[in-house]
Amino acid sequence: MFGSIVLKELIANILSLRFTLSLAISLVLFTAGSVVFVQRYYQEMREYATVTNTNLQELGQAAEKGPAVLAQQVQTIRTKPLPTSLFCSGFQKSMPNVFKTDVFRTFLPAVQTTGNFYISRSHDLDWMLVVTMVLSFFAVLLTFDSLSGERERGTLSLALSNSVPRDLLLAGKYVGALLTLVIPLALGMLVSLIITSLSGLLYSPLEWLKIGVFILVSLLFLSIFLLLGMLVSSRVSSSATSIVVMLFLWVVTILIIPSGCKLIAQKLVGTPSRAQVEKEARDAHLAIWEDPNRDAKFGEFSGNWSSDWENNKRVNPPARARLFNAIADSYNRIYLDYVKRMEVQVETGRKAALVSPITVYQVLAEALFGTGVAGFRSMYGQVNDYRETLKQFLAEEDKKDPQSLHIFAWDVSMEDPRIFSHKPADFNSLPRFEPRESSLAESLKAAGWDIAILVILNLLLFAAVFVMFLRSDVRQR
Amino acid sequence: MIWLVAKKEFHAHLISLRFTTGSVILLALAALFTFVLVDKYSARQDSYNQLVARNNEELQGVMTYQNLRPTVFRAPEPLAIFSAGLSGDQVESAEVSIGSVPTAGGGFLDGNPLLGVFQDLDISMIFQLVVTVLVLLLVYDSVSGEKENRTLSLVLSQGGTRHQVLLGKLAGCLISIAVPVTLAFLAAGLILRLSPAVSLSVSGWGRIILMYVASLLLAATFCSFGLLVSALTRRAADTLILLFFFWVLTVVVVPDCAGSLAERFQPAISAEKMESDVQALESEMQKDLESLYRQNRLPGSVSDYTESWGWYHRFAHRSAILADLKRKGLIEPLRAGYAEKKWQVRKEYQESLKRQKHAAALIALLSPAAVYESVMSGLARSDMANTDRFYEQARLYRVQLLDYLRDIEALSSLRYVTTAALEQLYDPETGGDYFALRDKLFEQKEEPLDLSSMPRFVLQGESLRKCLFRTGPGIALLFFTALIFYFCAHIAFSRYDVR
Repeated sequence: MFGSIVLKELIANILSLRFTLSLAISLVLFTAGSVVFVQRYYQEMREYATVTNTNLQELGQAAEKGPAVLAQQVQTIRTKPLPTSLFCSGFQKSMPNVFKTDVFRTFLPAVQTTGNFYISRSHDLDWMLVVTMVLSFFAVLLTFDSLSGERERGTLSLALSNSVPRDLLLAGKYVGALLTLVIPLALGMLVSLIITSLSGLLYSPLEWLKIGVFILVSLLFLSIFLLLGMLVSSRVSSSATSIVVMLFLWVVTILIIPSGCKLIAQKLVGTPSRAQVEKEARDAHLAIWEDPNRDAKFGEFSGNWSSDWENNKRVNPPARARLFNAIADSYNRIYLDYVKRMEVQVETGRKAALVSPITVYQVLAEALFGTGVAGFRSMYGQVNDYRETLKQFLAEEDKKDPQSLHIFAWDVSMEDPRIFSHKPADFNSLPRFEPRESSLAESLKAAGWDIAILVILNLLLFAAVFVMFLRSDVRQR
Repeated sequence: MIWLVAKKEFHAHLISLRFTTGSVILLALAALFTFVLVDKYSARQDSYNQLVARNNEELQGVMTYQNLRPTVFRAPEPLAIFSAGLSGDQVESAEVSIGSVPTAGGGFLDGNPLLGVFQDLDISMIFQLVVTVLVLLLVYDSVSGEKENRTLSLVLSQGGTRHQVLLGKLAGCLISIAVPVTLAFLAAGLILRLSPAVSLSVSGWGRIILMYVASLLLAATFCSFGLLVSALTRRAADTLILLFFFWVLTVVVVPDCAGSLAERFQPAISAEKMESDVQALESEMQKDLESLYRQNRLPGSVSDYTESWGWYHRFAHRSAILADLKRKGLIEPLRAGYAEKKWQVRKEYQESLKRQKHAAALIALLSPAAVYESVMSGLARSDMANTDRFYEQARLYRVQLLDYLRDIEALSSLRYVTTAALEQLYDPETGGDYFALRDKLFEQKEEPLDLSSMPRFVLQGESLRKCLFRTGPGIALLFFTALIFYFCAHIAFSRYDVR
């Protein structure tokens, strides 16, 4: 019985105008998105390779001059373009993707945009866009009249006059609608993957696994709109009313809440401008330098330097090292604070926006594929970790140099080979920055709560639809 | 007859649930967002004022012409609350100096870039989303629905022509939708009027009126398209589905994707290439400068300079200062030349971006909502043309500034490199004690540059006339789209089987 209800729903849906239209639109978008993506991906990869190679070259030159120069070498690290950004690009056009660091400081990350800053409203044509903007809309159009329409036509009481329990009918309708949604989704993804594989872009097993999870999550997200449609449809008397409510609900959840939350975030958490932060860092530098208690804090004669430091009584290299490291640390702290503030601001907005399932879905997909804010955060952490690794490595290298006094400090170490080693370092054993892809378990752990929210929302809505339908009058009015 | 139908439609809409719901949502959102965005505008205005004040303060403390590097700022546009366009969260600015030509693209990314995950919402976006849905909901069943209810043949038996009935329906729908739109504009206008942070000129209010007209034209376009589809379909349910797919395409999909598609079909020069070209010029310049330095070494030690970030000579050997001044006379034209070259590279890049933007605009012509958006941002002075205008004027200002420096012969005056007069400087030939002279000079208070005759930057905003000239085609396009849709609806309705 259940099977035949599902089948009947499925066939009725497939034959409908809305199905044809949404299939056509999503296929066009999936195709266009993949074609655009493939071209951009290869271009970005070329740029990434250029930047990375230049950086390595410079690192190699610095390595010949020894650990002291290496420590001062400012490296440019680019975020690696991800093949998975076809599924969820995570607003990559506005994510900071250039990280500069020497071993003492990580500078403010910058955005090297591949996009066109003259185009104000531009979405990447990723799978997520099709799911959130087209298929969720289709889900609404699919179910807004599923109960109210049948009631109006009088077929609902006919269907229930057979020995079909209401819950079975409801479940049948739901599954039928969900299966209908799967068709454009699956076909579109298939077309998209064929296009990428034709261009030579192949995915790893881990990425395939993530794609699988992403499809499940997408269905969970779409199912919310199906259930919302059914809920409204079971409550209201006519399909006309149902569509009014559903359309406004859709506009508010998909488009208005996420944008409104930007304003909330800006109101609650202020961030200074970049120029202000740079100025603050410079002021802090001056404050440490001009501190009247400087020598008490760092040691006598910390401000002095002379090339004849070994014999000059008024030069104190360890004190100077402490002073300069304090200055470097103050830069680092201010930059780090700023990045943290940026993150807090966006998190605040996102938390407020969690009332809308689209944000839950976005956060989830970003965590899964390591793009967007989650990707930025992980990348920034990795750059900082790398800085520490390199610092330790250089300290180890320096220990092998018997000439060196092992005074490791910003600017001071550069002064003299007797302070910190200037012997050529082995470039091959030098740690290099390698971006790390998070495993499925890590991604799922990061996304755990969001998946739970989606599941709970689905269950709640299903229960609500069930109760509403049980209590509703099925007769034609 | 037309009037009768219109009145009937109007009354029917007025009491319907969709109209009430839609109007309430529109009004609430418009008022709420105007309120919040005005607040945001006043915060931006404050930071603009602070920046300008600080810049003026810095200018008053400039000691030598070599350190004269004024920054110019673009005042935030109050009307950007209607259409944010390209105006970001930060105040746009450009440094004006011999060594750099102001270029667009730097100041845009100055806010928190992570907030890019949220789409910017402005009043025009709310109109695009809510007004269009409401119009389509009002109009979708006006032909096919009435046919299903069997009232259409009754209406036509009253003696009116089909043309009159259709025009009446259009008028009825437009009058109904004009009610919430007018109220929303009045509410927004009232909030703007009452807010102390915003003061609008007459032309500002004129722009708002034009925005109002554009909003009504957008509604008219969707309304006549709704009539067309309604007159082409047999059942109201089908009309609804068709119309809402059209809606999601025109309002959401096309405006969002036009940029990405334009990237594919009209590739721009890559930013990476532009940057590396600029870098190449930069290192070429460094090489030239180094050889210049080598050829023109300064005699002896020059320095007793001040300890600030922008340094200059406080006291030195006379010969060294004169040599430095002579060298500056060679360096500065070199830097200006390279600035021009770098600007050419950046300009080429920008031109390619602009071509891409035009391609995107061409694709977006498919969607009346995107046309409306470009009209609104044009009227709000937040579009590409106005951004370019700011940088264009900043560049003109740079030329003025360089002219000014030439006119006062700054580059050949001692004041270019030092605050001291020639006779105050140490000269070994005339003798005297270096340190005594220095201490005597240091006792005197330094006078900052007299910049009273320096040209100041004033941004000439685009005039309403010029703005109309630019946005006019868009407004006309909306009008003609509405007209064509209505004409097609007319044909479809004349051939419609009303039974």
